[in-house]
Amino acid sequence: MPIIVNLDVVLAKRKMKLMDLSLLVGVSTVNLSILKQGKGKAIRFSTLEAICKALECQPGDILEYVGD
Amino acid sequence: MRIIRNAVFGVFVMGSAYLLSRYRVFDSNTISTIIIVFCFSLFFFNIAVRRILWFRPYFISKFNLLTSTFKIEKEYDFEKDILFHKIIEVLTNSKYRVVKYDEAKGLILATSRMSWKSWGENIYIKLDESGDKVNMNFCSTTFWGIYSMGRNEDNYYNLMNSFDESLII
Repeated sequence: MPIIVNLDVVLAKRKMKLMDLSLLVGVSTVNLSILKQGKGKAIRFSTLEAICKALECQPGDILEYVGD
Repeated sequence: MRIIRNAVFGVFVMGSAYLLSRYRVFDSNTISTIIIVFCFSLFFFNIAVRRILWFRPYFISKFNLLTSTFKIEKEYDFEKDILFHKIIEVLTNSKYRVVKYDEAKGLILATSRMSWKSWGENIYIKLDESGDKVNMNFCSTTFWGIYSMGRNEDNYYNLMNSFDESLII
């Protein structure tokens, strides 16, 4: 998939664990793991907003488009 | 396979009835009593053991003539533990009830709700790792009833729809 999820990179920069983010965002760890691995089908704006708020970042920091 | 199984069961029942009546081993009241007691015993036995994970082979066996089973296998590109917890989450959030699970063996037992047209079905899900993929063996079975009237298949499609929807995070 040409969209890459860099959630693990942002988490590492913030020295935050997935479980902590899960508590802040209100999304289960399983769903965040799926998102982190790029296995999700789509992401809701509300989830993206919550993640950006919790990690103090921009959507572009989490999602990246890599062309062929 | 199901047609053969049902045909064998029908022949067995008709043959037994014919032999018992032909040779008059018992009188008709005794035969009726035996059949009724047998059916009730089996029914209550199935109710008693339906929530025990250990009885999975009994319910999903092709030789169990009194249950109807729908089996399907699907491959997923997920890690086993993530998929395991995801399926439990999907089952919990849908109309099914997770009864028991064994994470080490990758086994989940869920039941559908009882309604006026159904006693509820048992849903057995087994996850097996094969390389970097995970095989999900789905099995929905009536705990009592030769025909599921499509409910077993509905359980699978409902679960798959709920699973796909849950991937929108």
